[in-house]
Amino acid sequence: MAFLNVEKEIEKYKQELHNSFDVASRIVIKGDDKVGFLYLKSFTDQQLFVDGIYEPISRYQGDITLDVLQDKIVKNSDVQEIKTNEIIDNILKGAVIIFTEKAGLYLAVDIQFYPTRMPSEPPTSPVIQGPREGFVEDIKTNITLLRRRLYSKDLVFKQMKIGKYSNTQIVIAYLDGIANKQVIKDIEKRLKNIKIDGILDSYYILSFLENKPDSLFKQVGNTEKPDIVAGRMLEGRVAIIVDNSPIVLTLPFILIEEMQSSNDYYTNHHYASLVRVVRMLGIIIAILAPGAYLALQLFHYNVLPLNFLITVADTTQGLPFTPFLEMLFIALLFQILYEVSLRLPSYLGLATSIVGALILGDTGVKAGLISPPGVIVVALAKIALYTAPEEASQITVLQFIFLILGGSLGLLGLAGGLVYFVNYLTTLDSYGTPYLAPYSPRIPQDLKDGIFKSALTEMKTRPKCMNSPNKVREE
Amino acid sequence: MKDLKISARQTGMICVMLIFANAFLTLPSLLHSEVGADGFFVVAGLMFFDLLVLGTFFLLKARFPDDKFYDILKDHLGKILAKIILALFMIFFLFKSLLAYSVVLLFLKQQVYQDQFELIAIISIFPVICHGVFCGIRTISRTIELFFYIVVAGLVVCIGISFTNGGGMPQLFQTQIQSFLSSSFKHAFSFGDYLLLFIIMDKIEIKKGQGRKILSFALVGITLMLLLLIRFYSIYQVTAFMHTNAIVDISSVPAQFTGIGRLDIIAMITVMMMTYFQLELFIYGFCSSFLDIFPKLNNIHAVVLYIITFFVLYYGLLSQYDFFIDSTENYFPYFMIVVNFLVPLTVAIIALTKKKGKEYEKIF
Repeated sequence: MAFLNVEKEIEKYKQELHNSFDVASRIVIKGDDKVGFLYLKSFTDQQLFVDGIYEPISRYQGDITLDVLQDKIVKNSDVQEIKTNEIIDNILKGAVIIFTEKAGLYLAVDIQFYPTRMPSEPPTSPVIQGPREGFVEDIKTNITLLRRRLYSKDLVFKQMKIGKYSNTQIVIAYLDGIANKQVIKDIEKRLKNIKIDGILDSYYILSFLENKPDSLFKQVGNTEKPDIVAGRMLEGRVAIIVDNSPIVLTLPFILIEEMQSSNDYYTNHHYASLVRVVRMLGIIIAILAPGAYLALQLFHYNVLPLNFLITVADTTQGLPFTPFLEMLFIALLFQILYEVSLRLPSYLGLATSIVGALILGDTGVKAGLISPPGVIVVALAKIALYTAPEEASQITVLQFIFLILGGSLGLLGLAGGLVYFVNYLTTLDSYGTPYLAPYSPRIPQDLKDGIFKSALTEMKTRPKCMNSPNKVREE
Repeated sequence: MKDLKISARQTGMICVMLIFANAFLTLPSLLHSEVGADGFFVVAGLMFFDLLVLGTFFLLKARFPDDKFYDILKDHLGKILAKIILALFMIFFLFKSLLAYSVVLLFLKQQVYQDQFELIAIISIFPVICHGVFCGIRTISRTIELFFYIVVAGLVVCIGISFTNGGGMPQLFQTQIQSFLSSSFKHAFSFGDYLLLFIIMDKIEIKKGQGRKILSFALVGITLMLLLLIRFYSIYQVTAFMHTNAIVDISSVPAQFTGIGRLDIIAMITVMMMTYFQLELFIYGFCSSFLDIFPKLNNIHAVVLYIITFFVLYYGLLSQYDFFIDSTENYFPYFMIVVNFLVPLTVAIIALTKKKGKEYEKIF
């Protein structure tokens, strides 16, 4: 057995950690033996270290070996013997490294500790019925939240680390035998190929998982709710959990997921279908309404009902802007107010609403800068935007694109824009799953959880588009 | 153009989309000026002929399920004849797209837009359809699949609205068989759209029994077309020849009666959507034929050639709309005898010449 120079060893690793102020060390002299401790003060449970490791070791009469440490001294934490090249890694993970001079051992005891938030209802996905728990920034808690929903031996968590400096823990979760093996392999391959300095949130790895990273459209599912992730895993999807992020990614992703909310599964399916239709209409209105209004006003006013046409003509008369600029101005105004409301403290929210809605809107109309129909149309589109269950930033971008198309090319431009975007969307696929499934290509059995939702008793199979090896959900 | 398979259902939807456009706009009034309400029978007859062409497609597909049309022609007729046939197809698709574009352009100019529409149309249409063609037939067919029921619903609503305009029984059986035949011959170029299926036949996947699906969709398209004609001739009777945009005219409800604006906006949007799909399909047909003739070139060459030829023809030779329509009636019928009669006939003979040991695929 090799003899260790504890002081020298501790100094060596302290140097390697650049003598950071939170690197702590202690040495206990036990007769002719010495035991050294090296750890990060900022990342370990200090109380546990003193009460559970330092003092018991100081009191113990005899040599410190792995068995002694495991069986007689440390009872609440994992203890393992490590090699020299694993020391720094273990310190950074929140372990205390124990150097024993006589036995020549390097032992790591996991006493990692850091402040975490308790699971709470995520602000992005509030629900009326169903579980309210949301993921947190701690990966262990997130794994626990999933384990609590899927008590199965087939629930697999595969861990890897990405980020040269961040060494972020990333976990691929799936149900073995339900998730498609090829999809798992592809995801693992892509994750392994990520060579980046740091991963600070799950959004950092998003573009590496997308087939077309420069696309406007989202190609990876994301949610803050464990029940949604568990539901998606039961459908054959794979989840990717990133440490320090409350957002869990799921793959493969299809566009219809944007219209599905967890609420739909905890309510009557007829009502859920109605809500989904409303959501779809809301999204269509959000994207097309400003552009269509502008197209009708500028190019095709003769198709408007006479009374409405008179109102529009009356209210737009004498405005300093052209209708196109007016709509663009109102849409930008709403976007500015939205951005402001996100960043202002909540106690200023009411003031912003008053300034935005009353002063800018009402006074703008009274001052003859903008027209009431224009404000109504943009306001309707902006409100309709929030019918989408998850925050869909691409809808806002599309809204502006179609506003420009409608204002410059009329209805033909809007129709062209629609055909162009659908053409583009049909070229997208997420790990072998067509993006517009189950509508294009049509997959009849998957329509049961499409815009119209069937009762759970009728959804006997997993979505075909997920290519799950185990197709049956209900026997 | 990516070589990816499309389903029988998507093929059926393509068949429906191919029928529409100019047949829904100017053709009914043109036919009425020649044969009165018997234009209905002209359309029915020509569509029946198209169904026969569809039949030859099924025969060929059953005989050569995975083969390319060009390869089949090359194996049976030789390389040169195969290239000549594809060159004829190229011309056919080019002029079909020209006809569809000019008819829709005229309609939109009259009904929806006023000044500077040429530029708006070019900016709105060409980038979109070129993008569609570059993405390939699967993209085009999937887009059609997504919009199919919306477009068909638009047509059904237009036909439904036409019932609010009243109308009596159209005066049928008023013309002699000779006029009927001459009118059918004159307007042959407005049909023959199923020829595209030959060009994309290797990309179509028809499983056992799925031929019926394609036929059903084709019949739905034909039924809608004939229903529209009947309604058009019923409403406008002897003045039908004065109404140049059939689908829009039948769905026009005077605003003072409804208070909800002009409902023909539905027809206009439907026609716009159909135009995009039809032009995408025709240009795809053109480019695909071109690439079969010149396999060393790529789709960029094909699309660029199409765009240049299209604009030279449209603005150079065919800027006179009446001249173009006259040409389609006077010269193109002869061309159609070759393309839409002799070629399918040859194809049918090839398909029926069964080699020993080679069985037909059961697609029905």
